[in-house]
Amino acid sequence: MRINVTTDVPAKRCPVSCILPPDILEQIARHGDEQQRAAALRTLARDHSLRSIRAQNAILRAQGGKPLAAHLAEGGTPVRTIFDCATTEDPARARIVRNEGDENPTGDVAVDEAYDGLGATYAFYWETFQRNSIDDEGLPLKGYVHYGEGYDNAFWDGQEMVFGDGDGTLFNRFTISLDVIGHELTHGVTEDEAQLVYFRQSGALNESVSDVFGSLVKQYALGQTADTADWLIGAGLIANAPDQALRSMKAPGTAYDHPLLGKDQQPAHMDDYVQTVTDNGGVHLNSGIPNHAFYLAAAKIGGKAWEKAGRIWYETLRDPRLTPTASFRTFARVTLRAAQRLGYDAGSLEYEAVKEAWAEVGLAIA
Amino acid sequence: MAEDPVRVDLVRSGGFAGITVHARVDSATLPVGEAGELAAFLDRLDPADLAERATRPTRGADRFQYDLTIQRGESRYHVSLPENAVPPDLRPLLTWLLRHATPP
Repeated sequence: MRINVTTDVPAKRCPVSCILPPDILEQIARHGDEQQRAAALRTLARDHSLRSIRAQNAILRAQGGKPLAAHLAEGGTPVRTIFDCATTEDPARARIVRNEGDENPTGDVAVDEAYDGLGATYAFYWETFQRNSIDDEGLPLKGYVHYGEGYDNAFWDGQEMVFGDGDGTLFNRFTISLDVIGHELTHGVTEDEAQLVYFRQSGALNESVSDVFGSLVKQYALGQTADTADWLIGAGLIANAPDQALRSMKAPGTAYDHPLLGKDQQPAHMDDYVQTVTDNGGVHLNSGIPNHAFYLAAAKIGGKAWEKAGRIWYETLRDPRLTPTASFRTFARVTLRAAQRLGYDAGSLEYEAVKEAWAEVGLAIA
Repeated sequence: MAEDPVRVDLVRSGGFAGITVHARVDSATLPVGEAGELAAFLDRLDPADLAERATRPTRGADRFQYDLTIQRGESRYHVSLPENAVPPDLRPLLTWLLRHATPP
């Protein structure tokens, strides 16, 4: 197949963006013009070096050794800094308001929730998976609060976590729910590990992984089991609707029904997969499908969801076979391989629970 | 000089909540002052700059995606921008449009 990448491209247009999957980059490297070839080759080289480190680490782990990066830092303590954007949208102008070890709360609810939430998320990753921060090398955690004026969002910008105050009419402050903080930090973990491309199915997997570990951070902090957890994402975030949330992993499509926000549209099964050009191909909608598979697996296994189902998903995220443009089906296959690697062979409760979970959302793995 | 009728559609999707909002303004139904304000905003847009920005990759996760469609007389213009590529001088227009947003 030959892809003509020069069609409809104005002279100023950047010829290659990181969102392109490797196979298309390779096409451009072969057939593009001089400038396109150079950009594609640079992107491929960077991608390949990161992937070879991941492959190397996978081999070391399989032999019982520790991954290379883990030797670089002792671990066990986060390094948190909370910045106050004071309603600007320019993090460069933000002021430091709380540093690691500042034990006394500042009295600013968003600042203190961000500090505590990042601490709880760090503790979850360290105590359950011995992961030392976002990059497993002790990366300092930066949280920006009071971003924008009545800003209805929280996001990961590629380096730090950013939280808006909400407009007060539709949304409350985005630090209000611990799983939101765990969700944003996990985007950093995914960027460091599987690098799932934020588009269509791989993008929905990226979103789902953040919901899975965001929910587990909350369950871990509350000491909940799979049957006592609420499996909600963003509970308390919708203003004046304390019983609603943004997503439900247990019952996708039922988290909110609101006069101004409409109704939760998440699917729970491949039959209802949403094809759309908005939201990077519906990454926040279709995440309902893998979210529900995780819930089903955890519920079937029982007990504390982070101990077995969570461990299987974490090993999946770090498996080099999980490519950046992975489909739901590829992800499902890798979860079964990860289960086996953890000692849960075919026929075991855990392996069969994961397999049945995927089948129930329409992804039967032979 | 009579202005061409203008209709602007803005779809904001994505964000942590993943809730899509749609805003539409039509010069025919706006007070004269606001219609003039809208036309002035649109005159300041730089299509070449926006076309370049539309090719910038989405950085990070949970950011908004803005799809802007402008119908001005016979000409129609559409651009899709990731939040990290929105130029500062377009922000006031987006904020102004979102004040006219309707639920899905």
